[in-house]
Amino acid sequence: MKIIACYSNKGGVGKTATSVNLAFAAAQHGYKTLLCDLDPQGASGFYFRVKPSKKLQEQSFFKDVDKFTSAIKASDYENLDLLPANMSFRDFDIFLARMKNSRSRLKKALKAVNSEYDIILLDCPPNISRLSENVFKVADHIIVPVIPTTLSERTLEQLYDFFKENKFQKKKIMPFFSMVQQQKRLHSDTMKRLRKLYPSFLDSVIPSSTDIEKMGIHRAPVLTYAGKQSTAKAYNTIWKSIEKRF
Amino acid sequence: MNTIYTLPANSSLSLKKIGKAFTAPHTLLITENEQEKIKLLDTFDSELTSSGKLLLESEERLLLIDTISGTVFSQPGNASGLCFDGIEPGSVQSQITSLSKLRALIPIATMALIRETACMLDDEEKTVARLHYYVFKYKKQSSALLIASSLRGYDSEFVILQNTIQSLATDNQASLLTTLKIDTGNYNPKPDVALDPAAAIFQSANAIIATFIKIARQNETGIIADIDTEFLHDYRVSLRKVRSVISLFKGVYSSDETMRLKQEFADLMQITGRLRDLDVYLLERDYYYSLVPSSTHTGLDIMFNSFSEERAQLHKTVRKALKNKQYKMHIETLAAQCIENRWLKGEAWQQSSHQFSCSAILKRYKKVCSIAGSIGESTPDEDIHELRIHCKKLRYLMEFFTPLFPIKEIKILIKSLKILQDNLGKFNDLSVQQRSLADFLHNFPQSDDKILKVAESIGGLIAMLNYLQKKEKEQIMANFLLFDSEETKMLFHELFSPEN
Repeated sequence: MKIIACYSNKGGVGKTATSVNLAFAAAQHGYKTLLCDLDPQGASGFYFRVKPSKKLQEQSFFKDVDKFTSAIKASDYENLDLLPANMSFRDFDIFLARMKNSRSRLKKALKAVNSEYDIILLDCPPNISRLSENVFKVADHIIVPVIPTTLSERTLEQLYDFFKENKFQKKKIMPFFSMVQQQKRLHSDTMKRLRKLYPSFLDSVIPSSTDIEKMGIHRAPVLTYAGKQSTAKAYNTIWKSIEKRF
Repeated sequence: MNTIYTLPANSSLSLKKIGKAFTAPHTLLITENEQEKIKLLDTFDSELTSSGKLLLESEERLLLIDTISGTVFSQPGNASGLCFDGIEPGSVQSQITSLSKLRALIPIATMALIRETACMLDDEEKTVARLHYYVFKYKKQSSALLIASSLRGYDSEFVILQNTIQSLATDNQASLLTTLKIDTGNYNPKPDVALDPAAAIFQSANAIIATFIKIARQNETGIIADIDTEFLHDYRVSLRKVRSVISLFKGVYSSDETMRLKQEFADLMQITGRLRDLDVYLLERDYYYSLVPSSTHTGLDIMFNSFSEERAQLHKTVRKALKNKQYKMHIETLAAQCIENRWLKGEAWQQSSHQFSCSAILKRYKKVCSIAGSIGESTPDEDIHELRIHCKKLRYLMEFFTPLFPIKEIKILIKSLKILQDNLGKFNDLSVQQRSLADFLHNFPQSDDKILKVAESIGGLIAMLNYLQKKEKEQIMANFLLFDSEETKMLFHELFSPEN
């Protein structure tokens, strides 16, 4: 089993769209996939029409393995299940921080569903917190969407610094350019510069596209309704780059 | 989880009706509705249908319905006429890996199929359960399967669906194939022939022979159509069993009749012997290639091409022979004579079947033990062949008479013999193979410039087979000691002493 985290310490970078579409692509490639919606502001559950789980109470999320597994719901697509966010996850980080040995709690919970899934994809909240530290430890790969702007450049730098300070494995980080507007000079210049600075950037980029915006109307992954468009193809290519690292 | 309902096709149930019966917030969305002509496929010995699996083939598409688990798989491709290895990898193929590798899939019935798929939706239009509905029409019969599948995390919705279905229809209980009156053939190459322990052995012998002649004959069409190699194999095994009864049931038929029948059945088998040998070589093709270095594979190519050509020619001859009126009359006459008890009786014909079987089995068992007991490292191969033949005779006797003895015990004895027999069988095969490879080389035209290549390959192969044969020989002593345990000995005497 591989754990893949989709993470950004900055909001509004297309993180949830990435999680939803990569999870769908993985499932389509035949991997039994579980998408965990850990972001209280995120909406991966919404995109799959799955209602927030009532079963998952804050107290029991990492403690009670049975409750964790019974909150999992099938999506409408083959090989793809979801762990929907519960609004009480909002204070999740504080909760985790209070717990002793919190670093290993996430791992324990994930272990319970280990044998059922080939891929566990975590849609993470956009901050550096106890939860994200947990994620950095357990994930095999961390996919980071980056909008090619100066501000995003800084947050990426912060992430690498954080990894260095905490001695996390930097090679886990797989950044890629998200919401790219090719016609913008700023975007293309930033991309050029960042690729030089961070050779780990994936080749394919996700354009800023109305197809992604329409996810809210369709309430489905882009690949299901605009599979032939460049955006959908780009998600598939990103999935293939991740697969190559297995 | 799936719930599967077998319904009469004329039941008024339809997916639409289920949808109408839902109350808010649930609705039904029909996603697929297709009608097509399909073939139901299975092996000749009904491996799939007997385990509740329906393999359906439409144009370029395979559908597998597991009527026990309610799971459905589909993949592109065909399977008609193919053995397992010939089917393209896919979700259907991965579900039938237990299929015999030697058996081809053949169409059992051509049917019309209406296939409907639907989703049960909640108020967010999220799928919370799925429905597959299949209506089969075969000749004048029809029947339907309804499969309701739950989705993870939507258990309460599934209960609603189950209750809705149950309020609309009742499960028909009978299996789909029974309702459709599809005959799967019920072919069983190893039946237990019902025997009466008190009946005269002459009666029992005739009953066993008649059964195996019938089994042999069931394979004729498959041999003629060249569907797979198992038809010829089963045909020959059945006739060999007939010959065994004739020769092993001493005194049941008069000695002249025994001689005559032995000859008649030997003649019947003679024509198919070489074809079976070639089938075995061709089936072992990959194995032979793996035994010798790839530098010598050219010679094997030449040999196997020659085998393939010879097989094609020989199959034509066999096909012609089996279609021949004279053959049909010959085997029909033998079968009729046997069923009507017209063969000439010998001095032991009146013995009770139980008494006769006990003494025949015990005698053969003692013979096996006495030969095996004297086997050592220096025992010549001929003696091992003799042991193999006696073991085989003992096995046949025990199998013929299985219905006369407690099933559990006799199966234990047959199983304990089987390990030794497999070992002896491999030893023998390896010896036969070496001999016939040498023959092939010997008969290869000396003037042909390929002879060097062929000689190199065959030489390597024979050396390898000889080495493997020695390995098998080393095992025989150990396997006999396993068979020769005190418990086995006791069980043999206990089970087969006529007083019991």
